[in-house]
Amino acid sequence: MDIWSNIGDGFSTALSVTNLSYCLLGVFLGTFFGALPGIGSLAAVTMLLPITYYLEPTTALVMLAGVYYGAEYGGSISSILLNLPGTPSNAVTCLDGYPMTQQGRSGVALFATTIASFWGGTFGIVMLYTLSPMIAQWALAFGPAEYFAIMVFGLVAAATVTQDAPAKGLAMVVVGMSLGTVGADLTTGVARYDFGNFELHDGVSFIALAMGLFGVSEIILSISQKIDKPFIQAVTLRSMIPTRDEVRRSPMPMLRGAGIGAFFGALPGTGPSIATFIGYALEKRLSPHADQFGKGAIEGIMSPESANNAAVQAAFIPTMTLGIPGSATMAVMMGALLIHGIQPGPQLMSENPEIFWGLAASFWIGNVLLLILNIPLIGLWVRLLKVPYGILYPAVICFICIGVYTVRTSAFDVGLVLFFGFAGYVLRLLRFELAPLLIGFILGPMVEANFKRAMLIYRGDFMTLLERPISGSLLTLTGLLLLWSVWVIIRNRRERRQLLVGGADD
Amino acid sequence: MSNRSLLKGIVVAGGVAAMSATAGMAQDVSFEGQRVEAIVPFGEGGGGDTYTRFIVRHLAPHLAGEPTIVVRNIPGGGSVNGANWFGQNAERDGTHIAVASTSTTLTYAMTPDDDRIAFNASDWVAFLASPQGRVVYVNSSTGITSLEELAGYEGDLFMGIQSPTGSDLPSLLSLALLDAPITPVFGTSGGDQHLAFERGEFGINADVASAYIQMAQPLVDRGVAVPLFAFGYADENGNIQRDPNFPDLPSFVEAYEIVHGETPSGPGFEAWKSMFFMGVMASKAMVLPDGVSEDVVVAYGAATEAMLEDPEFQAEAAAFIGNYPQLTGDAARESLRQATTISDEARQWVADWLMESYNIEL
Repeated sequence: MDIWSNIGDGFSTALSVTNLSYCLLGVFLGTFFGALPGIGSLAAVTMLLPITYYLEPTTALVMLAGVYYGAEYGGSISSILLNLPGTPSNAVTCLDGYPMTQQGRSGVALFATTIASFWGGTFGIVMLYTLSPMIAQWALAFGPAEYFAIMVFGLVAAATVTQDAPAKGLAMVVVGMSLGTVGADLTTGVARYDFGNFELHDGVSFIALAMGLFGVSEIILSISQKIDKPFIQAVTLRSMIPTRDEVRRSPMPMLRGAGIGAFFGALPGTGPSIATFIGYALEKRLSPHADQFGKGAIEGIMSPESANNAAVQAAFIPTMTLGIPGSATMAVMMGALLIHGIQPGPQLMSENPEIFWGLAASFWIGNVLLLILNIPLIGLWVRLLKVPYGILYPAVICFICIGVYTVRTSAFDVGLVLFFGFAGYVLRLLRFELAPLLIGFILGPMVEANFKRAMLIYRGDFMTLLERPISGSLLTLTGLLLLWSVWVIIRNRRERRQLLVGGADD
Repeated sequence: MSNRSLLKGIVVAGGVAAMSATAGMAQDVSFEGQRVEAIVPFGEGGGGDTYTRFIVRHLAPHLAGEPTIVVRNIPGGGSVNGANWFGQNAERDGTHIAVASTSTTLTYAMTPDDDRIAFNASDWVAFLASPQGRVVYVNSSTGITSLEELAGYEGDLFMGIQSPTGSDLPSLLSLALLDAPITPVFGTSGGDQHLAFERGEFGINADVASAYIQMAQPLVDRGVAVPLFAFGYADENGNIQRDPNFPDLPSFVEAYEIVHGETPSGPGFEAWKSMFFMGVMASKAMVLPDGVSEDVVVAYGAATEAMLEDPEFQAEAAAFIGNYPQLTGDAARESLRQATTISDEARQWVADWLMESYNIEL
């Protein structure tokens, strides 16, 4: 099959009136939620998931994906104007974005991040186009042993690489995997850990877990933290014009950021946050203006925002071709695919080409729409930040409860979402990252199924997992990653002790 | 238009009407301005869901009063959640209908003592039953080309099975009765079954007709897969004939004779016949709840007959229900009755066999 005709078909799918309208709705709502401080893309996608139930699968995915990258665009708005990252991956943008606002140059910052986001997104989409067919073909050679190994790798990577505290990350992955064991056993159909509760026979509801952890707990946290809103200055189109010097300094960081983003986005378990930090660190090292970083250097927002959006698009590569979600948000997206009866994996591109290519085309259309939403309509988002949270948050909680209830018509799930909301709040107070928990929950049952299958086929010989080249090298890599994180834990502890000792000396 | 189609419907539905003395009252039933809910005990996008959405879309214009039919998905518990809801809450005035598919009938018939089950599928009134054949095929890498070779195969013959007590059970039982030395890999979903089969990890697989034509036929054409037998198709007398969509493949009964040299009999075969109705003859059925009035039954019977004659329906039917004759009226009810009943002896035989072979409790 010719890639150009596939791309053409994809665009004709994505440009249908329905898909185009839902794409616009998706990026609009995404920018809306992304711009609200605290509510990240993950919460936005989970909250809007139930709305897509009654749509065609392609349309549903087009909209949800729009919410995802829309939120990443929108997240930079509150980073720049309020010094509050809209999503975790926009945190780096605060470092140089907010100083620009303090200098009265927020217009330039907003314009620059939009351009960088657009470029990063476009680069990620090109990678998606070129790499996915190759990986999908290669993935047919993936047996249960390989799936097991790559998922274990993804889990360990999710727990260790992106986290400040690898031990806490690993703990969260294990909690997630344990929650994933609730429900009917795959092999025998016997109910596990349901405590005689019929509602738990199908396992913990994914929607209730995700919405509780990321929607409800986010809002509890926002209520409990009193945010003093700084004065928000008006942003005009005229104020968006950057200086000639800034224009000259921008392209290279943007290009490098996109490359870094696409690479880390495509790795399962890493995702956009780490890409933005690495992009920022790299620019700081390379730049002749290193002293300006943290004081409003244009490179400091170009590279992370480009990396962020490239990673968001590239994260679709492992999800769509291998059925392995690259990040917690992708886990929700994958849940959405499964809900619509579509099994992501190497067969997706051959069996449902209209979904894959239509979705990929809609990404680019969505990015163009975001360009329009974010430059001429920037005033709207700035005004949004002035809506009192007392009105906004109760409404959001209502939507969450209605959404959870409608999925299975189950009042039990509403109780569950509130339970997980409070649990998530407590975990956050204890500085646990929640994303690894969700990845563990999604991948846990898949790890179990593939491990069992591999053991059956290889007659219970565990060594086969290490002898097969792909699974063997992935498991070795996982082992090294674990060793590295143990080293990090020890080093951190030693540093802390030295700090304490140093403090005592003073 | 609605009056005309109703009158036409009454004439066509003679068979259904005959069982009711109050058939004349059917004219009084009209769903004008009403909302009919079709309960699907599965999530969106699955086989039962696509089937129901296809049927109700074509059924609604033929029902008296042309009501709006909306699909309501109540997934969970291997279709028990939705079926319970339907059994307990459905209105008996024709504004609630449901789909009963293999998972529902199988769970109902095989685990009658399960206290989670609060519905009576054998009392439901089927107004449409859609048969769906099944085909068993092997990977050519196994070297198996015939049923005799399958029975005498020495080596690993892995087969992906979703759940030992789910809709793959009829396939598993068929192969056990044919002495096929398979090793089931439980917990493998349909998509994974095909992938693993294509990679050569699994040597044998079974598909319902629609999936077979879509996914396995290309493999057969490429010489990767070899079809061995189809389950078959029951004629009016309940005798099992060859599947009309696969006339070149032996039916299960023929396959049994080839392997064992005698016609199948005994509790194992009784169990197989029940599962044949659950898995093939009433693979999917549209039902009204028990206790629904006769005129509602007649109205639905008439609408179904009219729908089956509708050229628009026929044009799309092949993709959704295959080229099988659809059962209506008495035939549909009989098919659902067969799919929801199994003798205690046959059920016990299945339970013992599952425990003995796989250490699995039914």
